[in-house]
Amino acid sequence: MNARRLAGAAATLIAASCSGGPRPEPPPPPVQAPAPEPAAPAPLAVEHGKVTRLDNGLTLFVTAAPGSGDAQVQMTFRIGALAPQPGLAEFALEALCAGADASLGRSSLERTVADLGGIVRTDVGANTAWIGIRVPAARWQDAQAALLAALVAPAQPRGQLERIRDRMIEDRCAAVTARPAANIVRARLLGRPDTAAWIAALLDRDPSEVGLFQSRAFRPENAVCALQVPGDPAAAAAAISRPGAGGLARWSPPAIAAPAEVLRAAPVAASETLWVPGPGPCTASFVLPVAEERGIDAATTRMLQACLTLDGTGGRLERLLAERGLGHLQWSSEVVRTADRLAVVLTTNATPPEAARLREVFTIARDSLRDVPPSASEIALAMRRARLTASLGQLDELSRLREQAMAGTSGANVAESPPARPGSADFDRAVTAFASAPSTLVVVGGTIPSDAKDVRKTDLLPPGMRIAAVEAASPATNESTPWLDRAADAIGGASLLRRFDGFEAKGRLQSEGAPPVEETASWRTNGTLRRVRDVLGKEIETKLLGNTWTESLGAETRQLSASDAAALRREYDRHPLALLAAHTKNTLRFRPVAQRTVGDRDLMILQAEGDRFDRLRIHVDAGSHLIRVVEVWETMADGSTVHLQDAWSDYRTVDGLRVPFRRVTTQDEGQNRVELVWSRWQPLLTRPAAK
Amino acid sequence: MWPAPDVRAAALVCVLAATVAAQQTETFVAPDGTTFVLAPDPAMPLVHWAVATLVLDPPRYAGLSLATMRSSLAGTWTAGSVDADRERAALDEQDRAWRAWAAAPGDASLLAQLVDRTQKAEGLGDRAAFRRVLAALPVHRPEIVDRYPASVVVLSTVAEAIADVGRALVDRREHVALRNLHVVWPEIVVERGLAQLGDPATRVRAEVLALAMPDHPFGRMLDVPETAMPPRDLAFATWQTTQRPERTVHALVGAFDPEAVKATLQQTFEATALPPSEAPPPVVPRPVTSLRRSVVTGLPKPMVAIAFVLPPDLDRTLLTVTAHWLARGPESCLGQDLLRKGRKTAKVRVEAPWPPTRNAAGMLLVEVEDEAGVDKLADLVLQACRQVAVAEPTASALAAVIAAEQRERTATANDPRAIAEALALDRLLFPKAPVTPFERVDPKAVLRVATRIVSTQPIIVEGRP
Repeated sequence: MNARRLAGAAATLIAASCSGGPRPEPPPPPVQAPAPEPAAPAPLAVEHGKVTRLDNGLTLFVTAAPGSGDAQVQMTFRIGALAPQPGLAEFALEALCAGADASLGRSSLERTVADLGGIVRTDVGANTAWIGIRVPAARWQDAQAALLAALVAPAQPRGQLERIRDRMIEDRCAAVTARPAANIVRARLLGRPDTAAWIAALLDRDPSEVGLFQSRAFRPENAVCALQVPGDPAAAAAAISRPGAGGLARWSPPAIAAPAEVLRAAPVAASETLWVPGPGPCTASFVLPVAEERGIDAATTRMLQACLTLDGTGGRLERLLAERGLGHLQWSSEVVRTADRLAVVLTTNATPPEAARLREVFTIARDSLRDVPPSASEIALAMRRARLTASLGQLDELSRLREQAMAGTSGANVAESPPARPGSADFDRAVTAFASAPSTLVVVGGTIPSDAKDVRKTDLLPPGMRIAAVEAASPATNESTPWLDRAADAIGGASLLRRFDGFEAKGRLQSEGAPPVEETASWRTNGTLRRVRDVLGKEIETKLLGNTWTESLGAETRQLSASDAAALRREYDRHPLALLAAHTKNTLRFRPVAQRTVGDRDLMILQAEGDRFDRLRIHVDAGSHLIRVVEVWETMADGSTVHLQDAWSDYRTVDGLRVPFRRVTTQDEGQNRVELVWSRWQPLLTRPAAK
Repeated sequence: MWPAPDVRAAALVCVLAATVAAQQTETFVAPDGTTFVLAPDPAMPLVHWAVATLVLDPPRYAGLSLATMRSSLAGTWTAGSVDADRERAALDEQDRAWRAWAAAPGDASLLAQLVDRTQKAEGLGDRAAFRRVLAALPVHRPEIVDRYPASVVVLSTVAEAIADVGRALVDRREHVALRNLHVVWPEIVVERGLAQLGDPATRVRAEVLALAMPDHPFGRMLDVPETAMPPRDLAFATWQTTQRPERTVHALVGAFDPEAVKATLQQTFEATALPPSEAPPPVVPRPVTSLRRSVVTGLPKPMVAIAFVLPPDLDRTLLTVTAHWLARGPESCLGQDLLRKGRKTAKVRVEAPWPPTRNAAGMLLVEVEDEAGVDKLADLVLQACRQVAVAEPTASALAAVIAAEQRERTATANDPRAIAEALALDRLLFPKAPVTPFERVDPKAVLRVATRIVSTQPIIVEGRP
């Protein structure tokens, strides 16, 4: 199959579907009477966990497992990507999970949990590092024990740490290549300017840094452990708290004299368009950070965001894009999150000039909320959306427990505030912050236009690393020609076949439950057909002559439709001699499919290319090189499409050509069997070319 | 992106069975025939909703069911039309212009007419309107997921919006406009083509299917995609057949009052105006009684595929565990045996049932890729399969297999959207198939199933450079 031909056909189809025509404007927000004061939304269902502080300083948050049959064991450390050495928190966390000690018979945490039938997920945020374990409910204590074993394990050898780091870099490069925009956003949520810097941070880390970091940062007094376990949470917490019980209460690393880590300041993100130029189509992604807190500022910000856009559609942004001639862009949304930050990313396919204009349009749309406060109807729409947005951080079970644990153990306010009203001081403060927050557009692919403003060109990978090209499977290289040449030779030779111009034949048609039909036919390769069928003494004459297609019974004649005529022609066009003649005249090409052995028969299967037939295949006998079967998909008169198979046999020589005198046609899985046996079959040949 | 040829049916079967078994659900049928599965969980902040329907493509246009699903998000006659009658007429004119141009693609005037008709039709419809309606309800991330032989709409919303979302889904079902089919169809054609190019095993699998079940609709999925634009009336007929309520399952997972939601949905899904139609019965493989063997050439990496027709009515968990033990990966019986026999570069994978199908009828497909070549490999694999089916799996081997399958279930159960999808698919594809919990899988039963499977005549296809 020719990819270029496919792509060309598709490009033709898509290009013909021109998008330059006028589009209907998105409707303005419906004008309504001023809405009443927005009530505070119902408080979110919050799971109240049992909070306990163990003697070793570890904070426990224990809740009851739901009925899904799984338990969770999570550990969150209060240090993340803003640790003094960039990339070290991620490296240390991964080392904790992937490290093993063969000499002590300790498998890695990942392996141990996998053997329990569970999964391990890790994530690092700007300020936290997190391990999440999910196992069948009955295995939660084994999971806790495995986590403890990993936490108290001695420092890992250098070689092992290097392998872990190399694997992380490989995984990161693969992730960045597969989903560049989402990973650029992720890197920025972690305080890195782009993915090249994010990966380079790992490359810069030396394995010798890991042990010290772990001993300072991965300590019980610096951690929150969240558990979701079967049974009574209080009882589970009590069981874990007993130091002799083998649980996390036993985790007591030696005291250290080193000073606490001084976190780097979160870098101030710039408003910019980040562009990764490259071949192929261009995608552009807006990044919309989501405020997850519950206070009035966060609630107002979420409302403003929903007034700006509802999941990539509606809102001020869509109107402004339409006004600027960019209304044809369709947006998809996805959520990108780290351990402690969340963003909604809206992505579209655009041309480079279109992409270069998007951030300006976005900024204007966002600023308009400050200059023209939202109307009552906009607020009503946004309020419905904002409640959903506030819960996007809890889309999966592991994240939900993590959020609840952090909220439950930090004393954060879990009651949701209503957003501020336009005109109030709270609103003014929130909208000013909203409008002045940095805006980021990530563009991947295409060439940066020379007049594009505030664009920072970047690479996905650090200098010196390349993205390996993916090699597509090459199509079959073996030609079908030798087989067709052999088939042509077996029939009578290519030179005779090139002179094949049709046939005249007489035969008898039989099918079960129907009277036999005597048939005489005269067919030409130009599509001319005259066929007479005698059914119980009545003669039905079918004629295809140029654009005249008729069927007559006695004095009555009816016109055949174009599709009926085409179907009839195809029936004769797929006669083995007609197919081979078309091959020798280069009007029909075949490609090989397979060489088959069925029972005691070896067959070569070839498929016709082009759109003359719907998946026509010939089965060429590997021994005799005769065509034994022709199969095809055909559309019947009633519009249904069926799989037809013609089995050809009883080959005899007539005028130098070997001709099948018997055809058995079956439909779908052997249904509607019709046998045609010829008593006379005369090929028609053109004059041989003068020498 | 089109994943159809790569659907890992075994994982789907296992995950579905295990996930569903772990959920507490209530199932009911609405007055219009739609089946609903409710899985309330008061701790979830959102409601995740999946709607599963069958893929019922017309033979020439494999992929049309998915195309209509994707196009359905471009709106209905009530959501997105400036003037429904005029838009309908304009889209019909555009369709006729397509036919004319397809019959004479070199005719520049016909192409110009097609462009003109397309622009006119696009000016009468707003493709973003339905998504705007959904976003305002609110709905997060409505997406169409390809899970051949089904397609699934998945979305997330809040409990208060269930009634509105239900009405929007009914509107979509009854009044879909398919206004951007001319854009979606070429995208699907290109996706399928690229997927086939990127997976050399496609041709081998197509040949297995041609030998075993030549009329199976999945064979068309593995074939060269049809580039011609499907007629609009055929697209609508396909939509109407796939969306019949009696063949649709909705699953809702999240925080809601099940009784109140049941009452709401029964009121919303009251009736349908879709014309009645029958779905074709699933294609069932016939036992293989004679040798069927093929060679496909032109593959970049040599491989062998061996398929055994499955006995009917196998327990899904048992089938999954058996297939995994027999031939999934280097730790499987087959993987270990090939290693012992010096085939160090052989990679083993298995799917069962294959092809992806309703009611789990199909084959067990073993594929072995080996850059060292395939000489004698098929016979080695066959021999290994038959030798394996002599002794039942050890307790540790079975535990490892069950742990691996449970991991997949655990990963799925972490994602409520995936749970909703699994519930809807399970009900749609395997309404009656028995399911054994993992804990009760018996090694003797595994051996019995393995023996039954590998003692039958296989289909063998070699893929060579």
